[in-house]
Amino acid sequence: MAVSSVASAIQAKIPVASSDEFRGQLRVVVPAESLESALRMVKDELGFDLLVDITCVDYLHYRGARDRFGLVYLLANTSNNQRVTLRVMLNEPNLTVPTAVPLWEGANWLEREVWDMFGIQFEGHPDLRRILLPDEFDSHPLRKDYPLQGQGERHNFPVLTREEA
Amino acid sequence: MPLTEAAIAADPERGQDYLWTLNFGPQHPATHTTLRLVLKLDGERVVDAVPDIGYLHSGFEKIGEHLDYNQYVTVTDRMNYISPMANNVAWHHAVEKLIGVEPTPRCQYIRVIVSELARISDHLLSCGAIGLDVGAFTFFLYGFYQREQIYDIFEALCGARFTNSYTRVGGVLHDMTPLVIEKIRYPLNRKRQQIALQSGWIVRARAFQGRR
Repeated sequence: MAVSSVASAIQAKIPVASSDEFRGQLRVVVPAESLESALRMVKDELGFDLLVDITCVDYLHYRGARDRFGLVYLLANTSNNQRVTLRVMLNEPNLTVPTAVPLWEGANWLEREVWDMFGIQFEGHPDLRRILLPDEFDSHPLRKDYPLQGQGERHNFPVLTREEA
Repeated sequence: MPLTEAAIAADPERGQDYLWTLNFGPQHPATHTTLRLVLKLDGERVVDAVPDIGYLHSGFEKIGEHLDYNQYVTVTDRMNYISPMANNVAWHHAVEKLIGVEPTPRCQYIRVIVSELARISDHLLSCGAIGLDVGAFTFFLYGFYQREQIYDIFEALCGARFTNSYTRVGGVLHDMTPLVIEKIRYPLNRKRQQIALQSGWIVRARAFQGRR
């Protein structure tokens, strides 16, 4: 099945905001409110059974971008070796999307990472804690408005003295 | 499962005396890198484990926001320090796909050769580490000697033994010299024999036979 036929199969089943092809890879943008049904449909009906990755892009200061965040789901079909990129555009303050953990167990840590780095909330996630950074960290460092040198977290870290230990 | 002291105190299973909460890591020889596990034990049986993986987080993505495609190759070395050559090739392969550049056939051949050498050295180390975990230290050292010869090839090729940073967008740093080709040919002829000898030490070892 060619890339274009996968695109039309997806478009027939779910509302698609836009879809295009880049270097032979299919990219589909779905509206945020139909994300859950879109993920369920591509998994159950089109056979995209492997969740490769969930990641996010911050389009702050990006030329021609209208939305702040692009939440990216990379999916693969393990029986016919097809891949599709599902993308949801999000804007502040509505940074909440439904979780994909009921569909793929592996989404658990991936969503925790996106929450940690970009501050996207996943509704219904069983354990949405920071995965890499300490719990005391109060910003989301992969956002483009976070400076490379940090905001002084390392220098203001509470020092554990011998008496307290 | 609770990770902080206050949460442990408020844990509803706290009254169950037979359950132990044990902190394992983040620096323990059995975890290989900095993995921390908060284990819940019933005697010697692990009932629950909460992994904490943030101790090796290096912020590579954030660094990448401020570097160009050729500068970032030095970071890809550090991501895969077991076979950095292969990671260099993978990085620039992705960049070239993005910007629509195809390298010359000679460059593609060189990249395949160095990636295969990196694969061999990667497998020598990972198999050696498996041996190390069951106490086969000699096996590990002989594997590392083989790896050193591949380091020598990379040193002759690009000047660096460990963090190579060999590829560039659309090409590689240096062309192969006759010296490099000679260095590749000589150990490769002996490697197959050596690897067959070494695998015998492991495959027929008691520690592995007993676990089959």
